[in-house]
Amino acid sequence: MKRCYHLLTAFGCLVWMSRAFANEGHWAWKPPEWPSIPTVVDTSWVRGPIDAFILNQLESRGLTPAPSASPETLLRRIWFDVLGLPPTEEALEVMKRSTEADPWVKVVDALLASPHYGERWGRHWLDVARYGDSNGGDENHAYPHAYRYRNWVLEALDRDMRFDRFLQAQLAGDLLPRGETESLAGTGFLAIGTKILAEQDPIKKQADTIDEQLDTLSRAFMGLSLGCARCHDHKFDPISDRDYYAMHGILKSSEIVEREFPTPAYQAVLDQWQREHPFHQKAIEEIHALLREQVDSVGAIEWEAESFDQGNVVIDHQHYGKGIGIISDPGSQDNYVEYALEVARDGDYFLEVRMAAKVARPGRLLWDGVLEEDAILQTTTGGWMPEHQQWVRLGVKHLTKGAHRLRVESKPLMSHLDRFRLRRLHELERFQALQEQAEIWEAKRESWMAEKPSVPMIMSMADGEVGNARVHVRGNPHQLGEEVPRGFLSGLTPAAAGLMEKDTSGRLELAQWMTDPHHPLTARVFVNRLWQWHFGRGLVPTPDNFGTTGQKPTHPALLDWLTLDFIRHGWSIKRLHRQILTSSVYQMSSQVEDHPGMTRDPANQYYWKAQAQRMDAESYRDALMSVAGTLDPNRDRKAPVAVKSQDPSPQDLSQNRKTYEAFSHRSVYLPVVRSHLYDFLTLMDFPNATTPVGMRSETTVPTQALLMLNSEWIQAQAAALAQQVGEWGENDRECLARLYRRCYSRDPNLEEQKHCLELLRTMQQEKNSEEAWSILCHTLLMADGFLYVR
Amino acid sequence: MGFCMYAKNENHLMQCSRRHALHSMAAGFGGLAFNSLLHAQHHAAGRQHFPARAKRVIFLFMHGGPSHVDLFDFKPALTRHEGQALPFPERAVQFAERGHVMPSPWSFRQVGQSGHWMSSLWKHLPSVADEICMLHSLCETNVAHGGACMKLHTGSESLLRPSMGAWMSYGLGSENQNLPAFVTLCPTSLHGGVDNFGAAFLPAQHQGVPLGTPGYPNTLAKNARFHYMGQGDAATLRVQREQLSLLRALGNQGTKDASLVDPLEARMQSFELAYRMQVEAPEVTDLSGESSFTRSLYGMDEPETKNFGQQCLLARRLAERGVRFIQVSHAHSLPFNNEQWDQHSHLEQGHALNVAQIDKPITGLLLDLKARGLLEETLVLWGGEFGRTPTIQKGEGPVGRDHHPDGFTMWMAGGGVKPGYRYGATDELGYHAVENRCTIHDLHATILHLMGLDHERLTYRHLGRDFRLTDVEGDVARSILA
Repeated sequence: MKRCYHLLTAFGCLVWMSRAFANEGHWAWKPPEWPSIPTVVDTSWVRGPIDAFILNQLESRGLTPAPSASPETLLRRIWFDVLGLPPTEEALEVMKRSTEADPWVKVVDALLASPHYGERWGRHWLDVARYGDSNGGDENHAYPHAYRYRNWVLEALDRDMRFDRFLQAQLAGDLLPRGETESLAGTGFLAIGTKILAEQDPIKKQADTIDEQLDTLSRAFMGLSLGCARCHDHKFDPISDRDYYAMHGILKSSEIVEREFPTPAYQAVLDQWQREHPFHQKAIEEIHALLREQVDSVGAIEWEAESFDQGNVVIDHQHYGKGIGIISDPGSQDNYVEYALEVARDGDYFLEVRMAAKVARPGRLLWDGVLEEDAILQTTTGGWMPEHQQWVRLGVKHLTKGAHRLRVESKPLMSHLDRFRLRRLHELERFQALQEQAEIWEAKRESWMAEKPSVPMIMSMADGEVGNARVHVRGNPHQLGEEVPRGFLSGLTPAAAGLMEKDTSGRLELAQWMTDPHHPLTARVFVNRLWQWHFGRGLVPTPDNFGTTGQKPTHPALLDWLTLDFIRHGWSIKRLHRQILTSSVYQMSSQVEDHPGMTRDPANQYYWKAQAQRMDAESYRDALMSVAGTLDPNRDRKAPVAVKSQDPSPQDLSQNRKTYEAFSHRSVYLPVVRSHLYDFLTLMDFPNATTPVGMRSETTVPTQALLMLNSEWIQAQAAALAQQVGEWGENDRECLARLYRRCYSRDPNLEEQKHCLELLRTMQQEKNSEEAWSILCHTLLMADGFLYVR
Repeated sequence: MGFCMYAKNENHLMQCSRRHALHSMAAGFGGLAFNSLLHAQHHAAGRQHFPARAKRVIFLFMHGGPSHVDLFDFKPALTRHEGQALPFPERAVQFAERGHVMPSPWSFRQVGQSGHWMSSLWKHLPSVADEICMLHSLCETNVAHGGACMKLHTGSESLLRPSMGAWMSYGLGSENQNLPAFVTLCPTSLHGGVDNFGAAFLPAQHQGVPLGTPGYPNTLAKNARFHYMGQGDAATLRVQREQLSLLRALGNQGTKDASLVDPLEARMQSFELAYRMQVEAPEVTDLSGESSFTRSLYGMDEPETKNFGQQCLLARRLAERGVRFIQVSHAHSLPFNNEQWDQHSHLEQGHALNVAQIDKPITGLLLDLKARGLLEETLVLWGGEFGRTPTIQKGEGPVGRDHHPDGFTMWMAGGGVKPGYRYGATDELGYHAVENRCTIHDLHATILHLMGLDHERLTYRHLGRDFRLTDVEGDVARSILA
């Protein structure tokens, strides 16, 4: 294959190169270069470089930008965009009364600082991270700890974690230097993918899992599909199968692990719990000291369990009794042992056994042929091995001087008994009283132990057996070709391959390579994603595909400028939001009539107006609950509510739906059960969470209409809203106006008023007022005016 | 005019013309994929690559893996090898540990003019044997249910891909504007579950619409309903009529935005369609008009066959109304095995029960389709995700057989296949498919071919690549074409 390298940077530290396939010079393989900020005629429109780039393009096409959107429209747009929630009536009032010339900087800053920001923008990233709370695929096991990754994403966005760190944590949070322990949960990114769990071929299973990880990370961060190169050199993009297996080796040297994750919140609860500990412990220790005083060490007898006089048990010195010798059952039977004892003097004797048992194997105790205790050996010690041996009380018995026979029975199995000990007591009553106290305190300790907070667990990555991979010939993991040193995409950079440490997987080097400021894709891909989530379309309209089969940027200079500016200012996501949200291009109206753009640029590729956008599934659900007053805005970062994910019956699914419908928090906290997603979300185009989705599809199908018309849950939201309307007063017109402000962030016009009141009157003929309002509310909540953010 | 729904996705943005987009994405009931007559004609004229031999598919899916060597693939050599190890190595990757060779506990006989072999379990099917085209050489699914089910339904055992019904809906649309193009009756939620009738990256309207909640065990036919369908009562419909009028009135003067005209009109149309669906769809599932002769033909008057008979009868009603792809799942659990046909143990008891449940309904379906003149334009496909080993599975309890993806039987009837024909063969012991091996890609290519679609030309562009149901493989089994 012909390879020619093309020098692109002069920095000397890293040489970024482009290997020519049939696509030499593809724009995305070249690192961005600082463009000059273009000059424009209408400088009054330009609030920052973004506007200059956009207006320059418009002017060169003879187009003028649309006027600004009205303050109410813009407020609604920004709220939905930044928080995914409708503006409150108060926020609307404040905006109306504002006399500031440009109130938006303040509004934007406040919203970006809101705790609801992470809930909205974290969810965008979760689309790309194909986040799910269950495996999906063939066997849909729950992922009980996946939500810790979700929370980590939300928190990272809330505190504006640098994007380069954000990426590094997700690929190699476990390998980052100390002080970055909070990054560990980020590695959930690589762990939460769908796997074919029942695959019987472990080699294929591992290859499939790695394939999923590679394709996800390359698409999410670099806008490249690596999957094709599993079987052959990529036909269109500079990814050879050697490159693929160079990266494959990195993940093959890593493994998915569930591990303990002591969060600060957990630590606080644990500390609180531990503070009670000494109190129990001290009491118990004191009582035991007193108990010891009651035992007369003179005349004590102690003997090995295996020194029995008669018995049908087996003696083990090899395994369970290694180094100590124990007795136990030889299999299921009526086990017994008898010991002949000689007691030196009369008295009350205290009998103990040293034993080990993982599960209880109860038995009975007989003295001189008479049943004494019928429930001994109930104790468990945590295991069967010598290290689990401990002394356990068997009981108290008055014995006379002379010979006695002790018999221990246990069926069908017997705990592992090591030694017995018989000691005389000074004062039986005192001893028994102390023993009762000890039991009370021990019960207290036991219930305290039961309340011990369980350690949070996370799905994460760790380095495993480090080594290079061999090429799988035609993707077949059983047909191995040459070994490939771990490395990256040599088509983008040959230099980095040699930087790999020998004894680590290379995930950290991979993450560092991807976040190198000169990497041609990483920052560009992210900046483009962010732009697209704001505007509905990326500067590159194919956000997950920056390869040669993707689309070219409509504004390459703007994309480069934004990318380099983003990197220069510390990869700050919130700063980039601020630049976009306060630009003139963002703040244009979407409602434009008789504009030359309608014929010259009907798709609005050059941004001569704003584009109205339909709410996504979560915004719709949250907005419905928000206007109905049924949303609990407090965060819910606990484990997601439990729903049945594996092999659900129709009854389970109906129960799941009830669980979803009863959930009062924001949609981002709903469980994402792959294959059995909450159907409300699915019908509203929530992605299926198995591959990165940079841009959701937006379908209009009659099932959505059926959902909106017939969902009892939506009707309940309408009823809750109507109930409030009933409290607003008697005047239908005023109520309607307020309803419009609540739902649509504006007043109704005369036509709308007329039509709405008409419906109300028709319905009032056969229904009571609240029912009639409920039907009107229901209609307004499924209307375009609610669903489309203008 | 028409019922142009609207869909926006990455693929869509690559189309430069909006009109083209509206045509190619048109219509569909997502969940209930309705297509307009206009749309159907558009497809009929434009999308078939060559004349179709079948207009629709009824897929009788036997979940769990029916044992080919106990049902259709007669192997007398198993008796000679009884109790012995296989004379060649077992496949490397097995689901369970396998033992010695076991002949079928049932006798076999040749039936009809065609001389198809059927075991003595079949009482009714022999009467329609000559309609059946046996495919004895299916192979290359996966040794576990999940991978095998996904492979059979979507062509991929590990990646999320559109299901064959979704491809059919995408390629051909529906013949009926009031019903979905792809309906799956009482599907199981196991082993890929909804992904086995999903649209994956195809536009959502092509996904299979479950009639009956997907579940494990699967919904009984008598409880099968479409979701979010209203009660259809006059009072509710009257209110909804008013609501729709208000939606229309508000929509008419709500926007000055030209770019919203199409999507908003599409929304309005979707509401109209949803409304009409509620009026008309209940008729499909209402069996009260079926004669007692028909009910009896499907075995609906006997407890053992009642449930599957009702599913088959519903399938015929959907076929009559022009649904493009209808899947019927025989996918309950049994007291002694988890999945219907998954007889790791209890082979005799399980297979006897399973055949007893489907024999009469399936025979009735073929007879009924034939009598109504529907069989020649309807492709009936029978089979599971794999067969079962000619060896026993080691383990406790009454003897059974393990999963077997290396050679097994499916059959077709109607829709342009040679009746009474036998295609392919397994080796002497029923282990490997050796003659005319038919992979799942070949099966898919053949089905698409029968429907007038070239599997290499039925593509969808996703993430910069043209995807096919058959990936980069698949050969049409030409010799079975009538």
